[in-house]
Amino acid sequence: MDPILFIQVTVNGLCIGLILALVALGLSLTFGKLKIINLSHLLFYALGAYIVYTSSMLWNNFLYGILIGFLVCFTLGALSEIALRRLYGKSIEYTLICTQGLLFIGTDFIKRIWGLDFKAVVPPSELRIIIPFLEMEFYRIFVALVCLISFLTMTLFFKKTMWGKIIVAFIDNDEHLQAIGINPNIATLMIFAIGSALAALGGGLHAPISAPYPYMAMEMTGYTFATIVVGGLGSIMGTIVGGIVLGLAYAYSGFIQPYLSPIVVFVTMFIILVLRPEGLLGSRT
Amino acid sequence: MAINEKVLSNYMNYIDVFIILLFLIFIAPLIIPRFLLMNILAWSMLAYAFSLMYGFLGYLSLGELAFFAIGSYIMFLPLDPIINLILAIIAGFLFAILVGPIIVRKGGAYYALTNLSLSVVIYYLVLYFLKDYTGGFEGRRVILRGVIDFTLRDNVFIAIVIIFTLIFLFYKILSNSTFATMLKAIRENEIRMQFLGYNTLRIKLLAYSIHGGMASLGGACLVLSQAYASATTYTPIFNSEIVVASMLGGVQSLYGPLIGTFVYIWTKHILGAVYGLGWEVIVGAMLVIIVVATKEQGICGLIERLLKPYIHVLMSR
Repeated sequence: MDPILFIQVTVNGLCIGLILALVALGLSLTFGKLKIINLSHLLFYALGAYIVYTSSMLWNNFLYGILIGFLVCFTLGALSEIALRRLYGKSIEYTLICTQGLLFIGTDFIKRIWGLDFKAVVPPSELRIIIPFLEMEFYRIFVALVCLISFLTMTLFFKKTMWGKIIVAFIDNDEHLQAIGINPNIATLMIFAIGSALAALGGGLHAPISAPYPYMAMEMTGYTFATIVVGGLGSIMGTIVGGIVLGLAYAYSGFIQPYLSPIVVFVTMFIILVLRPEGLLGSRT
Repeated sequence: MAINEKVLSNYMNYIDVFIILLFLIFIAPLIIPRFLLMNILAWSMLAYAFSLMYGFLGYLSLGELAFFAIGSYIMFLPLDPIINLILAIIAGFLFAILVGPIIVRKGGAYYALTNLSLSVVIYYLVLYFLKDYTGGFEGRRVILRGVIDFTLRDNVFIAIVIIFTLIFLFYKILSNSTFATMLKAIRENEIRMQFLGYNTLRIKLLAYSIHGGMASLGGACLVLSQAYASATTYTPIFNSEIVVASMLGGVQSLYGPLIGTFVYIWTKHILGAVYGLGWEVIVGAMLVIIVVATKEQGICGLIERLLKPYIHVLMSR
């Protein structure tokens, strides 16, 4: 393969994979620790993309949209935790059905507000410059950089701040956290809020690459599940690794034949599930 | 086969199968359009296959449409439709035996997601790589004319009702058998079953392959009813609809999948016709309310719970 083409495909794959990891992070934490499948989490991904579309239509500004989407979904995610709190401890199928219902309702609202058709989002002109030699848009590299920076921020947040430490402690051992005297509801609230905000960020960054449409949340479901299963449930680092692995698989196979890429993604997941059922970086219990 | 003789000799237990057959042939076409009824019956076969694995064994699958697609596209073979129907069962059964030893090793998310990946692979094969045979996105028509002329709507209707009744009878016999008890025992405690000397993998594999046969027969019936199949029917997103439809009726009960599919597809069609694009909010709200209100038992579970005191009185007379 031509080396320039190879770099292009690799950057594409990294970009898609990191977006997948951003969207899947909240799902991974809720599925791995709280034992609920929260399909309504994918709604925040769609919402983020549509908010970016709206802002680029109204104010002709892309970055405001990402910022507004982040803040709105942070709030809505915290609210959704309060609504979904009663699902803790129920069987996993029960949570699947309930959140599937919520996903239906949310998709319907999106259809009512923004309509049925595909929307085109244009990235800002300063990000659309073509890099010489590589002959690709700077936007893709920008996406990869923003994703990496947000993951770095998350890691620092988990390591250095009190709130982050509470979440890590909750993931590690929630009963112990309660014994110290911290309300675990704070941790679950933060997990939902941060996860939703990151999903909105991922959706917003994904919007110019793939046109937003009402069923994008449902379409993303399979891929995010693949990501969290490949990486390992409840592991933050695992989600990133899983996303990158699947994104690269997606990009390389899509280069050969577009329809091959979903097959390769899910076959990769199948093989990893068979060989390591707990995921690449999941803990063997 | 002492157990089977005991089961079959007590024919009064099977009076409800006969009532369902009569109801489907004579009364149901008066209530709902016949094309919709045939659709519902085909999908409810898939729902029965799903609840064979989920209701008895507790293995929730997110990839039932893989088998549905296999059964559907077997109907495109240039043979007699009746032979194709039998081939569909065999193909689903054999495919399940082929992939089963890997898939049924574990339950939970492992089983759900390996099935999902199976469904995705088959969907894209059907959509693109076998496009000459399947017709891909646009789909293909098929003329079903053999010993029985399935181009006549009456023949198709009677055939689908009979196939559905047979599947229902099979499911009912299965749910009273020792096999179902073994599956329930595996659901409760698999290691204990192994200690008792059962090869649990083989039992699960048999259940999985029976479910594959049932599901692909359902797919064949869908093609039989429409004489047409398009790859959009097997989109992996729709896998959750099977789960939803079965859970709506109640996977634990005998009539649950039928009633659940009926309610789900019927509401979807009616609301889609009345409100246009607003059907999802109502279906979603209905789903949440029913599942929360009936505590996972579905509509049938709720009815059974309400009727329990009265049934007890009837039984004691």
